[in-house]
Amino acid sequence: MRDMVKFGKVSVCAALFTVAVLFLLFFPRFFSAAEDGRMILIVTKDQSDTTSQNPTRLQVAAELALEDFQKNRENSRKIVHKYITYMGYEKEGYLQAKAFLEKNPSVIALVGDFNSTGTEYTARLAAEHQIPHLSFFSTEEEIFRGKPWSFSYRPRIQHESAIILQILREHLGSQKVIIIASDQQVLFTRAEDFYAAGSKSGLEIVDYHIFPAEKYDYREEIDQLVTLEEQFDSFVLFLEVYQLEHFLQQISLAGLDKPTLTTGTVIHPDLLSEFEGVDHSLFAFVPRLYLRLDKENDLQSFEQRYMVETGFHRIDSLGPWIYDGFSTLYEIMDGADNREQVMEALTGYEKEHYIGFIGFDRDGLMNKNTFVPVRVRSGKFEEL
Amino acid sequence: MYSLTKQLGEKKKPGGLKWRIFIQFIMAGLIIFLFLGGLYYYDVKKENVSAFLKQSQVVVDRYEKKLQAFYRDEMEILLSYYTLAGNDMPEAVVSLLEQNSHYLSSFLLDASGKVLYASDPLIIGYNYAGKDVFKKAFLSGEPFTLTRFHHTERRLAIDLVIPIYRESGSPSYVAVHQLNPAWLVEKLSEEYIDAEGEILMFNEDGIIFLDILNNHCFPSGEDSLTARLPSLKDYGFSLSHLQEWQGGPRSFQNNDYLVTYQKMEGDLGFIADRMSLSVIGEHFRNVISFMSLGALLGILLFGFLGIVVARRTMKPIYELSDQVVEALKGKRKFVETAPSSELSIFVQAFNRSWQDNLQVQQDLQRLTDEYEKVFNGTQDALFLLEVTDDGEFYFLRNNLALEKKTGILLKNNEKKTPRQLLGPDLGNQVEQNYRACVRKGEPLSYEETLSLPAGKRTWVTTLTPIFREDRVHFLVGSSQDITERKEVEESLRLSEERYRLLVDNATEAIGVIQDGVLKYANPMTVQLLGYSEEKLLSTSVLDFVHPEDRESVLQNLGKSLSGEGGSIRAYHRLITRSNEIKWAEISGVAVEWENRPAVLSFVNDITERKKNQEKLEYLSLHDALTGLYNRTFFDEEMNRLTNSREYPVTVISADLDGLKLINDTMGHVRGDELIKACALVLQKSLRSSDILARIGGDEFAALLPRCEHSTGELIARRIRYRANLHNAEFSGLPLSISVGLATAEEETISLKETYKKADDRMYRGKLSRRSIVRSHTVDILLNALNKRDFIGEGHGQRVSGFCLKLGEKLGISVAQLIDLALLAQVHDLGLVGVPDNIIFKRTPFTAEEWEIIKQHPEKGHRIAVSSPDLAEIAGLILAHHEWWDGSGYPQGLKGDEIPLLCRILAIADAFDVMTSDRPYRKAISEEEGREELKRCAGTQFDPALVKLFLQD
Repeated sequence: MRDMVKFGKVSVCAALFTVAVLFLLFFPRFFSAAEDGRMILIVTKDQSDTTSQNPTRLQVAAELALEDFQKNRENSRKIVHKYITYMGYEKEGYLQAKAFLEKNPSVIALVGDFNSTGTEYTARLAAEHQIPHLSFFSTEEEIFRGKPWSFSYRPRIQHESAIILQILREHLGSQKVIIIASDQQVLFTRAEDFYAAGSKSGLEIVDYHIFPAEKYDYREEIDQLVTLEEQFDSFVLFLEVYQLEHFLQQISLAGLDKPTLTTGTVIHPDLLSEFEGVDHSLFAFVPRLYLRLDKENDLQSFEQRYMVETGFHRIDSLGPWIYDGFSTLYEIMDGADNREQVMEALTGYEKEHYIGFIGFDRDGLMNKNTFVPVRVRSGKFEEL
Repeated sequence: MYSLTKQLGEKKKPGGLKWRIFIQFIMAGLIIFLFLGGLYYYDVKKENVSAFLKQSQVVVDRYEKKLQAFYRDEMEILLSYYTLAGNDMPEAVVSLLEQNSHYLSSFLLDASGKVLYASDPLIIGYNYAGKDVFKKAFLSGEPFTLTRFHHTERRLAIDLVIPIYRESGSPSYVAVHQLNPAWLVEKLSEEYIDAEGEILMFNEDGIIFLDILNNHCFPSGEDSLTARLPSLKDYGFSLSHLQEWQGGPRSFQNNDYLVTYQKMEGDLGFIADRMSLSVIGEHFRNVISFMSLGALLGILLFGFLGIVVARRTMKPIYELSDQVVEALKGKRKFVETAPSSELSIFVQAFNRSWQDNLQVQQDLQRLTDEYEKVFNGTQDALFLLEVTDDGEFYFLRNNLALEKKTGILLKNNEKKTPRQLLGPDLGNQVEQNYRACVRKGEPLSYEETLSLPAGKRTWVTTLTPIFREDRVHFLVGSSQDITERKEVEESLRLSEERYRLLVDNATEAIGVIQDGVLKYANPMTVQLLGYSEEKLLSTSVLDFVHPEDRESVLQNLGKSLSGEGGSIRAYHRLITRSNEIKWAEISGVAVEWENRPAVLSFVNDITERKKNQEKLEYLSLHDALTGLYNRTFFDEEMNRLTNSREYPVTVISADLDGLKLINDTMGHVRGDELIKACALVLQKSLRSSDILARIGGDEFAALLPRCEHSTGELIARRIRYRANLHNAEFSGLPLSISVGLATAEEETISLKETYKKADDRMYRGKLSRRSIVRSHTVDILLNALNKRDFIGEGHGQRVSGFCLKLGEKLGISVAQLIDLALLAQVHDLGLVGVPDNIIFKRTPFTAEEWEIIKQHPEKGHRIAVSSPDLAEIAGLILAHHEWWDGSGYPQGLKGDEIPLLCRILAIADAFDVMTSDRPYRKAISEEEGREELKRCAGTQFDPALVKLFLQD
């Protein structure tokens, strides 16, 4: 009888033990010790149903960067990522992040957001809680001015205009240009900035066309441009990538054999084969990353893992760029224990990275141009 | 011991162990059968999964063959076309196939890669020498199929590529036919091959093209340029699956799916069959039912075994418990059992324990004596009450101190109720507390003032309940005399109450701040900030202050503490619990709080006052309609910027064209809409740092600090561009904005003069295109006239036809005929100013409505005069409602005084109105219309013209 009772008890204990082991195996995160680590709070809008695929790409790149960083630092203090992903208005993200920050003093850096409105809210949060803030996306520079806790890792539009002018002057010897732009917001803004910068620097803007984003057929306008052939020496294009191929083919057909310079925001290594045959005088500027993708082992390894993790077929500039930015942040946090130290380290930071030379000016904006002038030839980028 | 003896005396036998054994048997049975069932389930599932994988490999293979055969057939058909056409006429074949819905597009390349002919004429002449199709065609020289993703256009391309030879050697042409993926997937989905789950196709980069069974291809729809493509991960794949593929069908399983995939021959990519594990689960639902039945049987079997085992085990235990009861009743000194029994150890232990118990009773007596000494030696009054089942209280015992301090003499164990002892009033009073203690079942302390034989005294009494059988049977009372202490406390309380009354009812928030934390907060402070008092008293005061005001609050606190300047008064923003920002007038004075320096603060909520002040300030500087700055602010800013460091400053003057005309004719509501649209266009075009103001009805001006003339021109260009964008979207009420700008390059140039210059330039520009501006406005009105279509579909056209017919019969000049046609179209132009509810009314007009309607010839005349295109016929528009007998309006002209063209129009217009359906009545027949014209000839219409009109 005693054995039977004992058997019953042992059975119950065994069942409970099995449940406990399974719980530990499948839910280890309940037992992870985050409280002694330092936390990076990443505030992002959910845009996963658009081509931007954010925040998936950001999260994959950030997690790979953290994995690589912690691989050889088992004894150092842990760094933990906390993602706040929201939908709807940007203020929603701000309120969620604010509530989280009030309960979690271990957060020592903020990252976010994907658009200017969201970034403005994140910068506000950084100022209110005095936390260093790194932004990868917004080109709206006013957000960062007068906010010592906010830094932008985003290459600047004024750097883009500057490098276009540099290519025109130093490599093409061009003085008179025609600007062709799409009315898509991102491209239109850049075209306007270049127009102002070009006019100010004495460049002659012979003509300036703005086309709807869905326009492909430029033959009528090109016929007019042919009459101006003697009055300009190159094109500067701010067109969507699917417009670019048609434009190049059509000016080639019209016999307008002028050097063509396109903004680097649309061009990408995977797309170059589409332009082969009409790329004889195509120039652009690209992040230095693109020239390093085939050469750096770390980037190649990252590229493979990134594609596997995201499940998408092609590498893009965003993945390595985020990886690079987060690696910079960890490097700084390695020698800094609190928010003030991270902020001071970011303020004085200067180092060459995959993206280019990273350093910030007094407004927290990138102080050096990270673009490289290139020529597109036979489906490849050649540095000028 | 008492309850145990009682329980045993009633022969209640312990049954818990029996049930525990029974339940443990059931659980053991359940675990064993679940384990065996799990093994069986796993085995069956494994078999099912294996069967699915075998089946899916067959399906994948068959689909690939189907697809290969499909491409082969298509290719053969194409080749036969080219063969039939002969190698000299490939263009003809491409042209022929343009009509075929199989193909999205087709094109023909020459040997240099140039597009010779294409279904999309746009790409004829394009150079495709770099494209994969061309390179591969020349390399292989054979027809082939290529599935690729067109990166720049983000779409799938399934190319059927055919090299064409005119002579041996290299191909002379390459024909490319791009198969329509939607058509392909539809075709394949019709070819159902006993498949479950999803059949997917994707290329080697992992781009998913087709989901065949769901009849879907990617990307699709209008948003294909912006929507994201499905990723391999979405479909449970990893890129590594494709990279690791080595030949033949391969399978894998993840948390959700079972997948079989293989690479297709040629460049067709991969094909996969994916099935949800939940679908597979459907196949062995019967197994789960069988397992459930097994588990139930296991429970019953082991439950039966449990009952048998428990009964056999419990019999000696019951015999032994009878002996124990006898021993407790004194009938036995020891209990016994067989020496070999498993219970003999228990029996020995019980006997030893029973002897120990007797010893304990002796010890207890000694302790009782000691207790009596303590009980009567203490200075507090102690008493013991019995609580009966019916809730009566009886004094059982009391100590000597109680008799001495109360003057009540109570014989121990005399059992008197409080009412019997103290009289009905006092007795009831003390019983209330006894009842409360019994109700709570916990010790109860309270104060009471009682008039007793020894005098009126105040006591602190603690009652402690003693439980027996889940009920309070006794109360132990201990009372301490605190009469003197209470008197001192009462006088202190009265003093504090007076001050608290003042502070608690104050309409100001009053608090004491010490070490940066509130030490006291009155109810108004709690109400103002919305936090609990506890939260207020444990949080730094700066947390309730707006971050931007914290530094000044700290400074003022320091000043108050140091006593510098006496009482300090300042205005700061506070943040409430609901994150609301409140403006407060705060004053503070140094005080001592608990012997340490502190600040006594007084806070008044002035948020409403502040809001009103801000609203007044806003209204004094903003335009109410557009929200832009007004003239006053603009002038102030102009003064501020004059001679500042913000040079160069560009000034823009902008004027909304044709506003007065729109207001006069379409009403002020539409005019206001136009002003707001204009403001929006200007706002969007300017930089965020620029100052834009509405300085008059239709006048706007902007100050652009640090803005050179070239940048100003760019912005003016942007205004025109955005106005055009607006007009493309809102064609019903388009904008026309005249813009002038001037730049003050150096600080010496006055901004007022610069503004004047900009304004002059704007007016010069406006004058030079005045006629365009006016025509533009008239166009808007005609457009509005057509949109409202208040007369009826095609009315203008029909009237124009009748007029021209009658005009030709009269033999009037060509110039007059042109004017007549124009008049027929626009004679009711003045009706644009008449509200819709009158125009579309289904009942006859009232007198007031007629008055409004009758104004339309004059309104139309005013509009026409301002337009160069219509000025010639303005007089005709004015007179088109005059009657032959002089009873028309507005001038009452009669006979030949009415212009001929108006008399023609009157007949044509009336005839069409009568013979067409109206909102308020049906059309009459043409014959009836002709009769009506005859009836009104000589009154409303010119009789000679009516006669001519009615002649065939």
